[in-house]
Amino acid sequence: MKIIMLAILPLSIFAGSFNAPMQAYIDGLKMEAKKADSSFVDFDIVRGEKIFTSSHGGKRGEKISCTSCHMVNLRLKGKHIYTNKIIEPLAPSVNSATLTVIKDVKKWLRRNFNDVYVREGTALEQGDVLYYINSK
Amino acid sequence: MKKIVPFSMLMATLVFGEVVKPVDNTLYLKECGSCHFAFSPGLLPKRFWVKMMAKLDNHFGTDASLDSKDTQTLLSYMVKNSGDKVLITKIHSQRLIIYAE
Repeated sequence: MKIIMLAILPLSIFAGSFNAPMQAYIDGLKMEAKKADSSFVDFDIVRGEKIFTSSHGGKRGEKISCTSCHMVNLRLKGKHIYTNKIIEPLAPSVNSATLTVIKDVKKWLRRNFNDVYVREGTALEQGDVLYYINSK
Repeated sequence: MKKIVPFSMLMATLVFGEVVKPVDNTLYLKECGSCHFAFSPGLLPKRFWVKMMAKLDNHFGTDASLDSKDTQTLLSYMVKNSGDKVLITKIHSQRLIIYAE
């Protein structure tokens, strides 16, 4: 029994699961990522963390990162650096509403990549970021 | 006094044409009101809403873009309920339009 538990443990650490529609969306992103790079295997939390925490010359010419508004600790509430809007925590472990509706996920990925990176994210980047957020 | 209030409301209605209608659209409340106060479309004229919705990807400095279906649905609601007939919004909106441009 202990052996089984140990075998399951790494999987549970890896990431929380997505709901069925979101998993289908992730699978679509995987196909897109594979098309762009045939050596692609799966999305990666560590790469996602780097995308999420690294600073870039944002839309207003000021260096910002996703954490500028969402904070480094995704289990806490965030605050928009320009509008002061309070942002609910992104971590699914404390906010069950996050990463559940494809339409909203697509909308915010597009908007926020544009605001921070001044371009849309690739399928690889989007998947990596979603894995990172979902691991919290 | 009791008579003055309804009378002034009547005068306001005659002078300004319409009373600004409160927001009664679920999508509008969700998409606009999740980031800021959902301003009633009746507070600004049609040309403001048309211009603003055409560049949602740079909405006062942040990307507030929506998919084309929702953009169209909201624009129709805004135009239908815009404040073109309200004299006071015509005057007020000039500065906002200049700012938004």
